[in-house]
Amino acid sequence: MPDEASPEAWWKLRPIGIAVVVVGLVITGVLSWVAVEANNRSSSALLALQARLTASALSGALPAVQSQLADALTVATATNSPSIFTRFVADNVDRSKLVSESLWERTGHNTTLLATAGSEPELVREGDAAAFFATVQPKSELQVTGILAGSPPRLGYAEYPPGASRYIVYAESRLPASKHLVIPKASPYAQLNFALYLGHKLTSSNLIESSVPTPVKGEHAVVSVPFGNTVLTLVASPRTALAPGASEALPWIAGFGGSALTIIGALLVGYLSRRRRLADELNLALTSLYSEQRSIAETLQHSLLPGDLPTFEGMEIAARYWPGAQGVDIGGDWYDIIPLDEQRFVFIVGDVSGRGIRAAAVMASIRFASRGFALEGHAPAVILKQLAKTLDLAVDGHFATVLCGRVDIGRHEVTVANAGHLPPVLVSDGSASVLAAPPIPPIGVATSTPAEESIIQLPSNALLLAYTDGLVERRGETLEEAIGRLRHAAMRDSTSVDALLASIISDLTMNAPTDDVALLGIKWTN
Amino acid sequence: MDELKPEQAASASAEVVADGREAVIRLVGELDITSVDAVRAEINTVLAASPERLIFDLSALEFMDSSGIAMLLIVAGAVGRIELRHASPIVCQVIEHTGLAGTLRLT
Repeated sequence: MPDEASPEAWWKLRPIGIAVVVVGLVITGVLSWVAVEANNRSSSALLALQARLTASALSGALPAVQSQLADALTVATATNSPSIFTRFVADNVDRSKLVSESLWERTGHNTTLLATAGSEPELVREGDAAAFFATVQPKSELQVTGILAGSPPRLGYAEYPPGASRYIVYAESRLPASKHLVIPKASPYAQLNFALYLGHKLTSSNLIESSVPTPVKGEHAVVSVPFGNTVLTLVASPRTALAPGASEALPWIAGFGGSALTIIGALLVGYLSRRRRLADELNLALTSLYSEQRSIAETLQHSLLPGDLPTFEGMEIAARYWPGAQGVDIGGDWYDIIPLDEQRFVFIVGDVSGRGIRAAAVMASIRFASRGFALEGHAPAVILKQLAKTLDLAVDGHFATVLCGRVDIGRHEVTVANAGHLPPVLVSDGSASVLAAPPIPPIGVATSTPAEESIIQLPSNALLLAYTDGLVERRGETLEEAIGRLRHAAMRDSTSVDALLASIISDLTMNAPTDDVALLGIKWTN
Repeated sequence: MDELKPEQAASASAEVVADGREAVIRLVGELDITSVDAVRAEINTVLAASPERLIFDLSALEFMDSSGIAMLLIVAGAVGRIELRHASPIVCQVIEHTGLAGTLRLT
């Protein structure tokens, strides 16, 4: 038994554990990245949407401005009276939005200022009026004149619709000081920072107002919406996270969750593979223990069987023992030759029921008992009768079939008695037949029947084969059929009894039966 | 080795029909050293009811080796009288060659 597999530190990973960690972390990384991407995409989409909504809302202020100027123009056109214009404007214009309104008259190429309401137009103060008005043409949209520098800066609008009127209404609205926009917390735009530009180009001269220093850095969306005869371009960036909190947390969840699962997985794999290795080691130890035990048993049995067989003038004797297929307990078969004198000997072939060490022990005791009875000179039937007293199935748990024969070499005679054993086969003149040896019950089974003895006269060069049922017993086949196969194998030509026995055994144990086999061959050489 | 495969074990089972005086035990399959113990246990439970006669129906018994014979002999010794019915030719020949045709009544 190997010493307890040295317990590895539980946190040490074997290659498979490392592989699991790597795969797990890669998958976690990919998932987290996907979550981050999804989050970013969703944020960008939301930002773009909010930017568009904001821009639309801001440019939506323009129609109101235009309608005020249009009304004033209508009044001027109808009354031709600058003073009524001035009074109308003073009464109706929203001063918080428009700080200056003025009425101009276009005649030919010249445009002259007729009246001013509110503060003086920056346009006039800067002296750009003539240049500007030279370019103004009738348009249905409100014409945004551009950003006028000043403190605070202003945005100018001219209302000069197509038609017969020769009047132009010009107004200016105030922009935040230094163009810095403060977005109130409660405002719908509070989630964004944005910069508003007049026109498409994002230059500082085009900047209308902004809540953050320009140009806007970081993630931002750019949206342009129509604004009179030009466009308003909004650059928006998120002030706070636009996507819902869970979406932002998703990459972290994926990251931590995935890493945790990976580590758990790796530890589990490590644990299971350690268990597996332990099981494999145990299996190996068990297998080697088993073969050790089996080889001890085989050695024991081998030592219980006769070593060298005695030799006799005029006889050729050989024996073989086959232990049975791998992986099974040892059996209780045996054979024995007990010399009586130069011309006579007793042979015995026996089979103890069942398998295992106990069967082998019973075999040993019967074998030595039978040798004793044989050496006393008893006839085979008496030997069996004596043997029957030494074994009791009810007590010892085993019985034994025994074939006992006494050979008289000179007389070519064999006297046979049989207790439950298979009859011997006689091979002579190239044919094999079964000798009659009617069985009484096996040794160890209570019976009142005395053993029968058959005295058989044998021809020259006869070969007698005594064997145990392991040689012939097969599932699905009757004993008669099986013994027929033995006879067939026995009729084969052979150089020696030993060689014949070897070929018989190899033939008949081809399908590796589990029962053991003892085979004894006794041949007259003349 | 990929997995531990259980050894191919022969198996036998005993089906019991008991009506107080007589118990019929039907042996099914192969009765050899690997299956003898299980069958013996089932027979013991039948014997506990002390039937007057014990009958073995061997029509479904395909194979029997020396361990199976030993078991039947021991049961016969304990009960006193058992009958073996409908044994197949294979089983019949095994019992005859073992000289037990008189001891184990074959009917």
